[in-house]
Amino acid sequence: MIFRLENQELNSYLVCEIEAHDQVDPVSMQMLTNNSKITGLAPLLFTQMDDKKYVKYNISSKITAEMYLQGVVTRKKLLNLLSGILAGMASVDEYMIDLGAVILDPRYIFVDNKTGETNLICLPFVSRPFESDDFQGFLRDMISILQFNTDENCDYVAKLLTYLNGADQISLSDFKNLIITLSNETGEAPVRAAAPARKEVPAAKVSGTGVIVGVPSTPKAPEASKAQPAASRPSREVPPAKSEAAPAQGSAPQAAVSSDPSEKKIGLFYVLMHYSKDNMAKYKAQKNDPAFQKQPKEKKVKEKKNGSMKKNSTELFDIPGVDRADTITGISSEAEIPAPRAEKAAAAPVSGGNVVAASANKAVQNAQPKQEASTSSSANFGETTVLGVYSSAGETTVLSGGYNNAVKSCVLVRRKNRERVVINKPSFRIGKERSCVDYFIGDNAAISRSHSTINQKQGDYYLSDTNSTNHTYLNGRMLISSEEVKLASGDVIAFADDEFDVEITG
Amino acid sequence: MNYLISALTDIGLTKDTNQDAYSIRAYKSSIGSVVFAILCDGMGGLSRGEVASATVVAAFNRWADNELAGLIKKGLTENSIRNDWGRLVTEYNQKIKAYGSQCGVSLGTTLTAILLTDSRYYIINVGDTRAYEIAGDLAVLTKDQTLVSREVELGRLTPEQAETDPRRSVLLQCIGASETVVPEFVFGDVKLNAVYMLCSDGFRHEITEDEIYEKLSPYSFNDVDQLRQNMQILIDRNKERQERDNITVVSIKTF
Repeated sequence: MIFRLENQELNSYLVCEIEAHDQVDPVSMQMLTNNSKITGLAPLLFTQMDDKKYVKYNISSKITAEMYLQGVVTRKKLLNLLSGILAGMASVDEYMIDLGAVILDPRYIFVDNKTGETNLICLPFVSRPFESDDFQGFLRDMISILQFNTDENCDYVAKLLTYLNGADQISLSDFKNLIITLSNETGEAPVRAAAPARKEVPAAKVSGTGVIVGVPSTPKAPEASKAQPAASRPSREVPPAKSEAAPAQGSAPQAAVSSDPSEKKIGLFYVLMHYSKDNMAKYKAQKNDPAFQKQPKEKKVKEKKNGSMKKNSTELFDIPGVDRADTITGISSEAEIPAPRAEKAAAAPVSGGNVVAASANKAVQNAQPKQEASTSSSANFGETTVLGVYSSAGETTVLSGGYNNAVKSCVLVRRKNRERVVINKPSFRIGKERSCVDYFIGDNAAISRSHSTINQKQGDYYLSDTNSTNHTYLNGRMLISSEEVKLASGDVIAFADDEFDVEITG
Repeated sequence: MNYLISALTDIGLTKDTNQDAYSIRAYKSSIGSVVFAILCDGMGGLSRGEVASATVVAAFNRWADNELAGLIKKGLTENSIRNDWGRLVTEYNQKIKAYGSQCGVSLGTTLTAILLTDSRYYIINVGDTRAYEIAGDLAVLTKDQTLVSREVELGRLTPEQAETDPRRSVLLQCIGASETVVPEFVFGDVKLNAVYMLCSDGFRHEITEDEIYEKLSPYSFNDVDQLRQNMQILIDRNKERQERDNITVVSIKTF
């Protein structure tokens, strides 16, 4: 299958060309094409031109989940997306389509930015069987690289990750209930209503808001969903940040077992929703019964979760769990992300494994002026361990650094004064506006308030200019506005006239 | 080009009416998405300021609805904008003046409007409402047409003195109350990941440029909700600092 994007007048479509080796599942195809609006799925239609066959998904006015989750993510946004994904999965099963036919990739999940409505892409092909592990892994991977809004209480993230890490096979209804509970904690419903884009001549307090979105950039063909889970088990129970009673798991009782669909094929989703030994046995029996068999696709070898720390994503993310209620308001949320990640690591309530990002090694670095109230926050938490500290034999500990050792570290050395700047965030900002940069240059007027950003992607470091007045240069060449260039050790970066040498190790 | 758009207005602490008027229109055109935003700050006792500002906003909106497409088809140029908008300003200056003398009153309005396309922005300005470009830095794109800013230009006042001078709100010209009106036009290249902001003077007397940047820079919000929150914070701050006038801010982020 080949994917591409197509625009027709006001509509946008994701077009999948069906190739000779793709095996179409006629039942799924029927289900998907005959039902024009299935909740949670992108509407599709089948077309044929000469001997080329296509399936077109209507994704008008939508952005990819990847784009939706860019930048700082709020609780509302994430919970919204998760409940949208679950709703889509529920629909798939309801229509007796194999859950494995859904593309679990944030580049192929579409969200309406205004309404929050989520659409999954369900392929009408014979697919490989759905594995709960894959789903958990996909969710974990997606959540773990996000930057969360630290103005909010980020407990919910810890609860989500705990839940995803917790069981061997998660129950989708439990997960859905968890999300509902988390949404209700702030009294907000997951999906928000659309806002109109035009307002005129107001009286007292009026506001107008809206978003206009162009066409998302053409995606590459989706890689087969990663089978390796970012596995981790917390090595010790760490009490949650707030004094809430029950832990995240099992926050809602499981739905009661209902009717038993004897003849029809039992979907995995059904089993998860109505778990009982009988159902499980039936499902397993059907799995082995040739009458219910699907064509097996290539199997992926998966690493078993065994408590050892393996994280394949090399990207860092903010560690939630800091209560910001008593910090100064009115300061932009980005500013609140404190520099010393070691502190946040110590404060992390649960799933200590995943929350590795702040290696204790990379403790407090560079000229970060915004210590503010963050130092007091670690006092709120009970017993926590600092990552990277080995305890005596007999106790399970977390590997130091904690993530894939192939991660390189990047340091900028300022020529003016030999100052060392460690790039310790996935999106590292440089400029002279204290409240929204990670490295503040205060003694050079030629630097803009937001001058440049260094982004980490898959272990590499990329420099880009953020509309600075006096520009950003790499090895003497000026960067243009949307350009991202990869950094290598020995490069020389200039922010206006301020030069820095790049050191990349690892 | 994609846009995140939000706007807020507040009657302020002491006024009986809100004489600021604004409008934002977004269109899909043959040259991509375009946004037309306009802000007018009316003046004149009772509700006359409201009439003046609303009238000019409505007139420009009619132009946008009816003429803009044609202009784009022929090829949008600085000259065509100067002609159309200049014509409107002259026409409404006369109309509002006539209305005023009919009623025996004096009324007028400022005007700041911006047309954003994929590549260029086109701005018209009369009075002391402002247009800002907030990207890597914060830049005020328009020049205030006030008495004190002229004094500053002539070297007779420093900018700091101008801010606290009692005549700081005295305009050199405004639509409806001047003999003739000569608008300022500003044209430039649209930046990606930048915020174009229009505001009335009530929004920017009591807060600093740093504070504006902190809340409205393209890196300080990710969606309309956050943008609106940030704008509200700035409005509230103005009121805490006893700003008395109506306060309006319109923000458009390109991405």
